Amino acid sequence: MFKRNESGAATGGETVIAQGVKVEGDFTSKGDVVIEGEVAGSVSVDGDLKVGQSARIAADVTAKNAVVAGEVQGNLNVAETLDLTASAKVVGDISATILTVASGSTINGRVSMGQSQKKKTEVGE
Amino acid sequence: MYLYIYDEFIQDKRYLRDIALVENRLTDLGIAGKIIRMALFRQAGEQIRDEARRGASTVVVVGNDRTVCQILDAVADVDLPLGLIPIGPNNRLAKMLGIPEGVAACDILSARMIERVDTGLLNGKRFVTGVRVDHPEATLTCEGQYTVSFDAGGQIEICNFTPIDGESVGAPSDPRDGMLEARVAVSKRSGFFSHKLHATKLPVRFASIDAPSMISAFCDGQLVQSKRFEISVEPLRLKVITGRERMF
Repeated sequence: MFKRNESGAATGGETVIAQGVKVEGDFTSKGDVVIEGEVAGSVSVDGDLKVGQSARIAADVTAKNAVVAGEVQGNLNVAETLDLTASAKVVGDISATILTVASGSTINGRVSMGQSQKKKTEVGE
Repeated sequence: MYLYIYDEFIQDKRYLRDIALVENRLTDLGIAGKIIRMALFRQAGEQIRDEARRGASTVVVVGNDRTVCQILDAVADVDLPLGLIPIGPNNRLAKMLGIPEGVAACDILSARMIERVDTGLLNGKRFVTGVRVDHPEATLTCEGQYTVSFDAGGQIEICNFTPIDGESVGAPSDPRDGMLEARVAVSKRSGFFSHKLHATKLPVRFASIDAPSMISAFCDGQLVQSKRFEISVEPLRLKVITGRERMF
């Protein structure tokens, strides 16, 4: 989904929060976002979100699609597809239409899936 | 009618030959026009406005980035295309617009490829390329909604055009998108001798940079000092003549 250059940041027209940078407050973006640093507050992305392995997010996150490889402490609300890679750690509730959970990822919270979100599954560590 | 703004420094004898070549080429191309020479007590901005009322069609700067800075407000206000014949050092804007130095710029001027680009405002003063702050205590606030902080050794740059010097990471900025780009570059040690550059890119319409004491910022290469810098975008405010090698 994202191309990478030597520094680990995505190329193209995306917004990038690189490693070593901390963002605090209500962060919103109309396009795609790559987060490799720290974010505290809230994150709202109209496009695709990538949370890198070095990322630490202490915020509720809303995105159209998301790939998470880092830490998220807050609720994850994804309209379409959410991929949790092996290094992902989520402490909070997850809501997505399609969810992929890789072996080794950690979820502590409720998982709601599908457009109607009728099924609710509690997942522990 | 073309209006040529000659900076003071090009009167130096080392540039006389280049100027003679330029003037001959402009005459050959049929785009010679009125010349205004900048001087200490002469307001070039007022003269540009007067000539615009008299029917000038294009303003051409014969000089460098500092020359453009001095007449930018007037050119944007009268909404005439801005051309450039770069002479001497400090011509970053010309490189970004794809305009070669000296007499070769005349042909670019004659081709008249005009693009509308955004400009920015720094504490009310217009700029075209960007603003750079190198200060460890500076904090960046974007859109009045979130702040950006970083470890020591970072640099804040609010770009309209892509920076062409130093280590620039990521895709080039587009000066026609109605947005500025806040770039924060943090250098981290990734080995005994090497450093890896991590670049943050945030599209913004409004940003502010604050510091507890007076800090310096470079705006289009000019030094500005303040405790607070308020930066905003003016979408598609300026018409510029560009070359094929432009960087957007």
